[in-house]
Amino acid sequence: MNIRFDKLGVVIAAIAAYAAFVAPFATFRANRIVPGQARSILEALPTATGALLLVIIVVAALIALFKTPLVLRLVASVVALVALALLVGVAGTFLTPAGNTFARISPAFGFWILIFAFTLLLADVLTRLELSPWARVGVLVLAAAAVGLLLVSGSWNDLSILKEYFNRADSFWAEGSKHVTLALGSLFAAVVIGLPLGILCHRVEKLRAGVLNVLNIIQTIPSIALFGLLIAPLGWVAIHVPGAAALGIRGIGTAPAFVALFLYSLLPVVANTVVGLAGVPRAANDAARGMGMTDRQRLFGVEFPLAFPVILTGIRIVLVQNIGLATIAALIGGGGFGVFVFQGVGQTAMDLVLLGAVPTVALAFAAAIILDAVIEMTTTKRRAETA
Amino acid sequence: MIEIEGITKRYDTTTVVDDVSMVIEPRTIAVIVGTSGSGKTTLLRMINRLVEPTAGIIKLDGADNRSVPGYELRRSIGYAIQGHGLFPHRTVAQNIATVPVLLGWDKDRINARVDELMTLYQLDPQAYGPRYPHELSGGQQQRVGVARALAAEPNVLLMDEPFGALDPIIRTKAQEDLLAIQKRFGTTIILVTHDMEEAVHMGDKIAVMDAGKLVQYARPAEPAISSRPWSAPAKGRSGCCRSDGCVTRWRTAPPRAKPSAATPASATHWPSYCGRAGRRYR
Repeated sequence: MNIRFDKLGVVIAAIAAYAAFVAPFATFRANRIVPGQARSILEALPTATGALLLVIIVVAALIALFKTPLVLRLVASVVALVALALLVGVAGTFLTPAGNTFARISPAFGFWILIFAFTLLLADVLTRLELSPWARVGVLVLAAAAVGLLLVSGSWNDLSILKEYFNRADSFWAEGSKHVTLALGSLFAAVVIGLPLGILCHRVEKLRAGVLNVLNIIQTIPSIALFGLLIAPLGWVAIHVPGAAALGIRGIGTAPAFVALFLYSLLPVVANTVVGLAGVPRAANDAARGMGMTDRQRLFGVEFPLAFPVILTGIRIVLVQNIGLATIAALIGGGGFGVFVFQGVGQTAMDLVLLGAVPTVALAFAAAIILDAVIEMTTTKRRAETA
Repeated sequence: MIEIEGITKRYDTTTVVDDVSMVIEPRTIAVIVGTSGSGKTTLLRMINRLVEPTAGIIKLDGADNRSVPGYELRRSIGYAIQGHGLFPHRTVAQNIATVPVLLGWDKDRINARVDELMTLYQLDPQAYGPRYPHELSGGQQQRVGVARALAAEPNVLLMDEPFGALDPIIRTKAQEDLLAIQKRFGTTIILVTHDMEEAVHMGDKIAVMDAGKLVQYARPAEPAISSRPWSAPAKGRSGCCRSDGCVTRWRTAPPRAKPSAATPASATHWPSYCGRAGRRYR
C-alpha cells in the first residue's frame, strides 16, 4: 500500500504532538502577578475529558499527516478547534480551587500552539476549497459568532483573561472604540488626502519621486520617535491656533497619535495609487483619449476603476497596520487597546497584556479577511485584463 | 474630405513628421505605410489631435480641426488601435456604447445602435453583449474594437495597425469585413500599417512615409507605387511583399538604399529584397 504524507500536514502533526505531550496546556497561578505553574492536558482536565481531548488531537493530527479528503480535514480541524476552545474553559473551572477568587488560570504555550496548528490546517483547507469571497466572509462571521457564543455562555469565565475583563468591562469597550476610531479615522484621512496626492503624482512626473521619498522617510521614523517629534508642533498649534485646543489638539493624547497614524498611512495609499494608475493598460488609456473622453472622464471612467484593486490593496495594508500601530498610541495617552498592554507590562500581569493584544490581533485578522474578499470581488470580473 | 497642409511635428530637436501635405478624398480608404519610426502614427494622431502639430493645418470638410475642443473633435472621429484597447472593466455592449454615451444619446438609440453593430459584426448581442472583453477571442475583440470606433456613425475612421495582433487568416477576414462596412457606410478611413500587402489590398490610395517625410502618395495601381523605387525598410525590421500572389517575408533586413547616382533607381526597387527572386508589383 502506498501511504502518502501531506507536506503541510507533517509540520502540523509535529507541532500538535509537541504541544499536546510536551508543552504545558494551562498555567495555574495563586494570584495574578506571581509566576505560574505549568499543567499538562491530563493535569488540567478531569481524567476522562483530558483523555478525550488527547484522542481528538491525535486523530486530527493523523488526518492532517496523511493525504486525506478535504472534507475530512475540514471536519478534523473544526472539531479540534471547538474541543480546544470548550475544554480550555473546563480547565479553568477544574483548576480553580472552590471559592478562590485570587487564583488565575490561563491558557499556556501548548494551548496556543495547538490553536495555531489546527488554525493552520483549517486555513489550508479553506484555501484549497477555493471559497468565494462571500463564503470566506461567511466563515469569518461564523467563527466570530462561535467565539461570541462561548463568551456569552460563560464557559470561559474562569479564565484569567476574562477575569481581567470583568474588572475593566467599561474601560474595555471605551478603549476599544477609541482604538477603532483611531485606526479607521486615520485611514479615512489618509485616503482623503492620499488618493488625490497619488493621482497628482501619477499625472505630474516631477512630483512623484519627491513625494514618495518624503513619505518613505516618514515611514522609517520609529513610532515613538514620531510621537516625540509631534509633541512640539502640536503643542504650539494648541496654544496659538484659536479653537484647536477645543478640538482636542494637544501635544500629547489622541491628536499626535492620530497624526502619526495618518502619516504612516500615506505611503501605502499614495504608492499604491501611483502603481495602480501606472498599471492601467496603455491601449485602454489611448483608446479612451482617442474616443473623446475628457481627462476627468478618463480618470473616473477608466483609470480609477482599473486601478481600484491595487488601491484597495494599499488600503488593506494601511488598515491592518493601523490596527496594530494604534496600540502604541496608549504610550502618549491616546487610548486604545494599548492601554491594557502597557498597564499589563507595568504590572507584570500577562493576562492584562493579552486583554489588549488578543482583540487587536482579532480585529486586524478580520479586517484583512474582509478587505481581501472585497479586493477579490473587484478583481475577478476582469481577471484576464493583462493577458 | 481631409486636407493635410504642411503638417510638422517636432519633439525638441527631432522632427517626427516633416512638412506633410496630402488630401484624402471622402468615402475612400487611405493607407499610410512606413517602417516603425517613420512618423505614420504621429501623423494619424494629429488628425484627431491626440498629438498637436508644431506647424501646419488639418482641415476636415473644410473646417480647421482646431475649431472645436480636442475631446469634442475626437468624439466625431472613429478611432481603432492595435490591441483593440477595449476597457477590461466594461462589458462588450458598454464598450461599444462608449462614444454614444459621451455624446449623450438616449438609451433606446444607444441600445439599437449597439445591437445593429454587433449583428453587423456577427456577434449575437444577447450572447456577447453582457460579456467582458477577456472572455472573447482575439478576433472577436478586434471586431468589438472596430464596432466601438464606428458606434457614433463617424464620417472619418482612424485606424492604427488595427489588424496587427491578428493571425493571418483572421486578419484577412477582418480586412474583408472592414472593406464591406466601408462600402456600406461610406466612411472615410485612414489606416496605418507597416504591412505592404495590407496597404495594397485595402487602400484606394497609399501614402508612403519615411523618416517623417511623405515619400509617395498614389493609387496602388499607379506606376508610382508599383514600379518606382522604394525606400527600403529600416534596419532590423521585417516586412513583407507580394510577388504574383505569393507572400514572401524578408528574412534579414535589406540594406538601406536610396536611389542616387551610384545606385540607380532600378537597382533599389523593393521587390528585389525578397527572399525569393522578386517580381515587381502588379
